[in-house]
This record gives sequence, structure tokens and C-alpha cells, in this order.
Amino acid sequence: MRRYGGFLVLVALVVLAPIVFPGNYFVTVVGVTIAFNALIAVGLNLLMGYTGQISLGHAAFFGIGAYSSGLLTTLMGWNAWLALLAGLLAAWLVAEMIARPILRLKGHYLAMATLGFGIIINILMVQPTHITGGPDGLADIPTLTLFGWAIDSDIRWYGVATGVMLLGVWLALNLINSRIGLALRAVHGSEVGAQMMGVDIERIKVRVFVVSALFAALAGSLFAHQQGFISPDSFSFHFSIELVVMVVLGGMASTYGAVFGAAVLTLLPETLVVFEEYEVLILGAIMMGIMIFLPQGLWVSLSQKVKQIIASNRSTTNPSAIS
Amino acid sequence: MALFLETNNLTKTFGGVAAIFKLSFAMGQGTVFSVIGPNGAGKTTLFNLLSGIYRPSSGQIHFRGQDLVGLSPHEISHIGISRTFQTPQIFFNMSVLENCLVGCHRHGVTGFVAAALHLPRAVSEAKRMREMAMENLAFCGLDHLADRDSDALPYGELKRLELARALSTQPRLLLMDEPAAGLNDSETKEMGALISRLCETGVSVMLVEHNMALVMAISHRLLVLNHGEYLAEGSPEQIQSNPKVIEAYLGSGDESDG
Repeated sequence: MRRYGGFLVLVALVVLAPIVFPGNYFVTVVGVTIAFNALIAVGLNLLMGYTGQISLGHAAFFGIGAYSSGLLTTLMGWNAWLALLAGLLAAWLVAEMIARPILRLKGHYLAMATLGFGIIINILMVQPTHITGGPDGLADIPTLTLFGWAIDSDIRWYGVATGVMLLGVWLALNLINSRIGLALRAVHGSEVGAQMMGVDIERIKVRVFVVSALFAALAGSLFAHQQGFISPDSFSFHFSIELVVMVVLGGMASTYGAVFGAAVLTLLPETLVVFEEYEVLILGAIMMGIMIFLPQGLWVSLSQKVKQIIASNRSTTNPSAIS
Repeated sequence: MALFLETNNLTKTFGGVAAIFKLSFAMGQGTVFSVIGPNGAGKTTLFNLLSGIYRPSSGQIHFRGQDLVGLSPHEISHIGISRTFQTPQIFFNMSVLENCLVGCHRHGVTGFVAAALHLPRAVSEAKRMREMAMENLAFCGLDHLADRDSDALPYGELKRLELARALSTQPRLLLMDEPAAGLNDSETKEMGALISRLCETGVSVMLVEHNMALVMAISHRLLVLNHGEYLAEGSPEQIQSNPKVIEAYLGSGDESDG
């Protein structure tokens, strides 16, 4: 039960935020974006933080989900949920196809290959102008309907987006605390050691890549319906980098860290707008500062500090309590 | 009856240079079988061939009648061969117990879906593995450190952790690459006792080791390699008095430089 304590706190935060701050822009509008970003970051963290395989192309899977939903509902008139499933299926197939050759690469080479993949998918969104609308994007995407109940307000979207994000966090936590999670972390620790323990490292790398792609595609489908409009800009190389920054900023190999990183990186630009043209400058300085002073990431470093303080308090009151 | 482990004309070349050349030998079940030889004799190459990390250039390897050539390391692990490394390949991002739990990986069937959904069978399997891992940690005298981060362990305990982890795969044959390297005298003795006890529990051990006192004390049979080739084979007493072995180790005396 103990390992779900953190999860219950997260659920409480998500539920309480719109009750304490009703109608607040940062909760019901930015909150939805945070939830989508957090969902992708939690999936990417399984690949990057736990398994140690970088991807600089995950915006592509976010885009595959979004464009599948957008195109199938507007051009083909599909049911939105079917389109969402189709988006997941498309992301699965693409991930499976590229993961096999790509994940044999390591380090910088893997980074380059995923980068190239992301750029190719982005070009495929821009070029067929007559289908995707090209750089102008795709408009009039209908909203989602759940059992005849249209998800058409900010607060309803907040509910759906955070609900799906919490589901993603729960799945990721289960996975990490399992036989599979141990094998993933072992691949990060020593590939040859993991192999000798009977872990099929090629297969498990492909699997976790697919899982992380599915998280991103799911977020993409929901994003398309929530926004009603998508354009290739949202799925560019730039966003892939932001996703990596979310994972690293929060702290690698920590699911809550990924959520926290997504929240910080989504909120910071929103709060820094008061500095107008200095916004990007200050954002960059903050990120550099975090990486220099808290190299393990915000969440991981801060939670370690808190644990240390608690431990030292305990040791002064009850020396035998340290375990 | 098929032999336990047998190689036939096993050869591995790197860019035309033979690291192992036409090596044929057999190892019996339930023994401690040591492979010795001067530096560069091809001992670690032999281990990498047996564990599937390298693919032989030619020749065969049979383990309990099964052909090992072409199998990948994880497949070889599944048919009952595990190994430790000269430099411990510990998962430093994990705790001591978690390292050992990875060793239990091959006994489990929980996949991505069952794990992510936290299905009851995944939970009970995890519990079973935990018990198995704790037993192996206890065997190696590490159970009291189960929740420690593995990167906080001293070198001697890392070596034992790697052994405990390899045992968690429940191997029939365990390949140990220099288990005593970097250990002090008392740690080396402990390691030797551990290997002998291991052999009594029914695990056959193939050992590569430079510490001759240890090798002679615990081995049933020895294979001597020189420049990747078979030089001699026999009991510790036979090997110690074999003139070819003495020459390979010490040089013939005529040469100024070995």
C-alpha cells in the first residue's frame, strides 16, 4: 500500500485544484495542457529515465495520435473513439517498425536516429497540403462525446485530461514495480548483465518504446479534440526537446518527477510572460540553474533533501528509529 | 548419455588472429572445473563464447546435448548457464535485492499488460521471486544488506552480489570470471568456500582465476590454455607437475623474454 501513498496525494491535488481555485485559468486551461504533457513525459520516462534509451522524436507520436484523430473525424467522419483507437494502432505500428532497427543504436547515434524520425514525421504533416492542410493546420475537429455527454467546457476537459493522466501514472507505477520494470532498469544498469539474467534486451527495448509511443499518441488524440485545431508546429522537433527537458528537469527514473517536470515546464512560460521579451532568457537561466545545482532533477533532488531532513529529525528524537 | 558440456574444434578469430583455436574439451556435471593459462590465453574469450556474447568462427558447443552455437545470451541463460564477470556488471541503479530479483526474471511470465494492470497473478509471482532472491542473498551472506543501494557496497560484497544474482537464475552451469580478483586473503577464502558449497548444492562451476592457491584448493579438474590452444587437462596434482604447463607459465629459461 505504501507505494501508492504518493499516487493518492497526486489524485488529491488534481481533484482539489479546481475546487479551491474555481474557474482559475491556470487550473482549468493550463492544467489540461499540463495533464497532456505529463502523460507523454511519464511514458517517455519509462524509455529514457528507466531504460536509459533516449528519444528526440517523441513529438512525432504525439502528432500521429493527433493527426489520426483529426483527419479521421473531419475528413472521413469517423466516430472519435474509433479514431482514437486507430491513432493508437498507427502509433503502435510505426513505433514497432522503427524501434527494431533504431534501438540497436546507442547514445548519440540513437539520439540522431530518433531526431531524424521526428523530423520525417513532421514533414509528412506539412507536405500533403491537400490532406493535412499543411502548415496552416487542420481545423474544425469535433470535441469528444462520452455516453452522450459532450466534453465541451474547460472543466470537463480538465476532468478527462487529468483522469487519463492519472491512469497513465498508475499504469507506469505498476509497470516499474514489476518484473518488467526490474528488467527495464537492468538494461539501463548493464546490458550485458541483463542479457545474462535472461532478459531479451532487444525485445524489451522495443516493447517499452511502443508503450511510450502509445502514451504520446493517446495524449495527441485528446489534444486534437480539446483544441479543435492542430498544426505541425505543435509536433515539431522543438516539442520533442521540451519533452526530454520535462523528464530530465523533474528527475530521471521517477514517475512523479516526470509529472512535476511537465508541470514546471508548462507553467513557467505562462508565468514568465510578465517579463515579455526576456521570458525565454529567464526560462533558459532557470533551467541552467536547476541542472547545475540540482543535477538529479527538481523532484528527485528535492525529495531526497526532504527525506534527509526527516531522517535527521528522527535521529535526534529517537536514534533507534533509523532503518 | 550426452555429456554435460563439450566443445569440439571451437575457434574464434578476431581480424585473422585466433583468440581460441581448435579447442576441444569436455566438462563433467557437478564439478568445479577451472580454466587457467597465462594472460591472453583466451580464457575470457572462451567464457564469452560459452555464454553467447561471441559467436564462434567455427566449431561446436554442446550443453547437455543441445547445440549452443548461434543462441543469444538470454537464450543461453534460459537453458541453464549463467555467469559472473571479471568487472562486476552490477545494476548500480538498483538496490541489492532488486539486482537479485532481475536474476529471477527467467522464472517469471508476467508481461507488460499483466504488470501494468497489477493483476493478482503478477503480484503473487513477484512475492515468490522475492523469496527466491532473498534465499540466494542469504546463501551469499548478503541478506542483511537487501535494501541497500548496490552502489554503496564495497568491492568484495559486489562480487558476492553478482554471484547471488547469477544463482537466482538457478543455473545448472555457472561461469565465474575471476571471482577472487580484487579480493583480500580472507575474502578470497570466503569466496572459495562459497564456490565449494555451491558445487555441493548441485551447480557445476567453471572457473577462470589467477589465484592458483584458490584454484588448486577447490577445483576437481583443470584445463590449461596457452595462446588460445589446448595445452593440458587433468587433476590439480597432474597439472602442477606437468612440464608443459610449467614451461608455459615460467618460460623455458632459454628465452630472454616470454
